[in-house]
Amino acid sequence: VDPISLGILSPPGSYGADIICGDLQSLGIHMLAGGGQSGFIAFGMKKSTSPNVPWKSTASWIPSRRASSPSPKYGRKGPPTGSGTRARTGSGTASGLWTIGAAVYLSLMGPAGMREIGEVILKKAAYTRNLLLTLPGVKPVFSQTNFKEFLVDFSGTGKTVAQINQGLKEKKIFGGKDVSAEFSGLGQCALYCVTEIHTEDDIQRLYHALQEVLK
Amino acid sequence: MKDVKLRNYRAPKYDEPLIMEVGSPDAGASWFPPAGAKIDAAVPSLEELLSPRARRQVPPAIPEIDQYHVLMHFLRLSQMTLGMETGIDIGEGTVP
Repeated sequence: VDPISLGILSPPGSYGADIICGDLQSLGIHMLAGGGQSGFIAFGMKKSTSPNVPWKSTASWIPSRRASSPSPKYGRKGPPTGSGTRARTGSGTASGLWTIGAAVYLSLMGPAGMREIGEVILKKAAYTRNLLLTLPGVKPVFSQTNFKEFLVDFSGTGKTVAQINQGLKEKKIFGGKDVSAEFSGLGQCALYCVTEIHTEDDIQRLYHALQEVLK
Repeated sequence: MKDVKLRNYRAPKYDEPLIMEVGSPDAGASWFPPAGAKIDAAVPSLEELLSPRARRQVPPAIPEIDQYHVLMHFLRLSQMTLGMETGIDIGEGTVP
């Protein structure tokens, strides 16, 4: 679950989730090279799950078993806890510190701020999606309301997402994530994401850039 | 390790309440900028975007407290954690 959505969207417990996990980065943590990483696992206060929770942890991660895949950066000495890259979990000062950062962010926002930010994200994403769908050949993939992220289908434009993103890059815009390889059944689709940090001008700039690229 | 001055160090200690115990409703510091008139006019209302089931009915139980007191609260907590480095029991890597 994305915690930034929880001022406006129903909490996972209300639709039956016992254990949820998510990333803290949306709670005021900026993009950082290799850092800014902290996540959470949350349990309902139920007898079936809560007694098994290692309460002392404030953060943990599970690295991939494949050596080639990206994993958290540890420096050269390997992870601080556990045995080598086979460690199942670990926690460190950085995750702990980001937990405090997220707590400060939530304290500053309060329930009203979290509702407002959720509303802004929902509206901006809906606005961008509707705007992009006015471009010739651009089609929606799913019809539901989206929070932050939505897929757009460029198959009808006669260009691939790779070509479009190359064109956008020349205009200093990173295009939406190309998912045509991962979900080949969907065609030439890209995943766009709009959050509270994007202004209306940013959205218009993307729209006009796409308009030119698709010409 | 000459001239170590830690001996004179005393960590601050406060009777700081939990943040959930302070503040008051609508004391939230953040008035988040709205999406903008043009966007508001162009998109459907929140009721149309979200079904009642998908929309949160009970606000999240997070602090309602003004910016000054958020700052003071976390400042005091941070002062109380100073000195941990000279203690025992804690040993963790800085990354991740």
